[in-house]
Amino acid sequence: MTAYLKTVATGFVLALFALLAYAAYGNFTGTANNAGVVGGPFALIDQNGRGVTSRDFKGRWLIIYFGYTHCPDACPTALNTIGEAIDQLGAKRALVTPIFITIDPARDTAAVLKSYLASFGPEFVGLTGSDGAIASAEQTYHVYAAKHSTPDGSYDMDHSSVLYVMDPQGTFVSNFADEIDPATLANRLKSLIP
Amino acid sequence: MTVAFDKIGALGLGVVLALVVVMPFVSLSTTAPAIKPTQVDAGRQLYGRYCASCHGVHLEGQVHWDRPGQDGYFPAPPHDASGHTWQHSDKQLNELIAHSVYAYAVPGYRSHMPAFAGTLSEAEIDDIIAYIKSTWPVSLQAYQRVLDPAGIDFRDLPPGWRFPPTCRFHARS
Repeated sequence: MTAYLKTVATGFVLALFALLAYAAYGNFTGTANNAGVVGGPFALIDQNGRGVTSRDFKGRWLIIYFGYTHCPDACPTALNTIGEAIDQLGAKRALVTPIFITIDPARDTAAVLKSYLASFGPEFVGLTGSDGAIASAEQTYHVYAAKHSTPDGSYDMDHSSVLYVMDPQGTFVSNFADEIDPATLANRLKSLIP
Repeated sequence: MTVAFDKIGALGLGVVLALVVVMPFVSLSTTAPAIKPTQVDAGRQLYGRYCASCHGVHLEGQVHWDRPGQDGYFPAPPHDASGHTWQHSDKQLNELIAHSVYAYAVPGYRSHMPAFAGTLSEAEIDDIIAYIKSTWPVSLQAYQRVLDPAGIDFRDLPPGWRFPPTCRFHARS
């Protein structure tokens, strides 16, 4: 009986260690439990007109931002922030790919994305696609996007403006508000990327 | 054979016991926990007693809260979706309630907001924040969690949730 209880206790202690290690990891990354809650597979078209899927970015740390090239305010500011943060990453810069996914595929063709993104940095990938493919990407990243007519007969987009960090396995790691400054973003990225 | 079987069974029992005893704490300790109903109830009472006289019974704030009054002081802002409380992290909201606005306010901003540090306990301040957050639409609750430097937890949000449209340029022009 004593031996039996000892074995029960051994199992208890082993499981306890495993759980504590898991909890410590969760605390360290802050987000281990959000896996699968934010982000998911996508199949879109890059700024060079090539079809790409989320699998093509495996092995890369991703900073993903949804916006549109006609955006007068939040999008260029956020892309600027991402570009400046990447400039401050040092050796870890080589591990990171910034991705801009358009919420306005009607106007943001591959060619439009290519010329728009050139000013923010050499690493930027722009993604567009069919209305359905973009809507699906918006859904998995919980992005709100809606057209809003302007007096000149054109339209603006109301949209969520959030930065997502995905790890090399494609798992969601962290979110940042678009007001984050480049130095803070760079420091957070440095601490997230081992 | 029987001995080995017993050992595995005993080991398994130990693991199950550990799971039952520890798992609730593990899942709660990893990131900011979801809003607890008991906190919301307590927070509602405290809000009514300490906050509602200026910030409004329905969290609507005082009129023209975004510009100074005749005395040069800014009126109390709303805490509902029309304000910008949801654009501050829990840490910032805690500081604002405990020590008034001056850690974050722009120079020259004058406010009648008291410092509640001696009046309210930290737990009571947390309850008030939980109550305020519980009144927001899910999109704002999600966005506010993005701001928490201690970690983000989206798991308890209902399926299909979206972030709010924080980029609405036409609304400002």
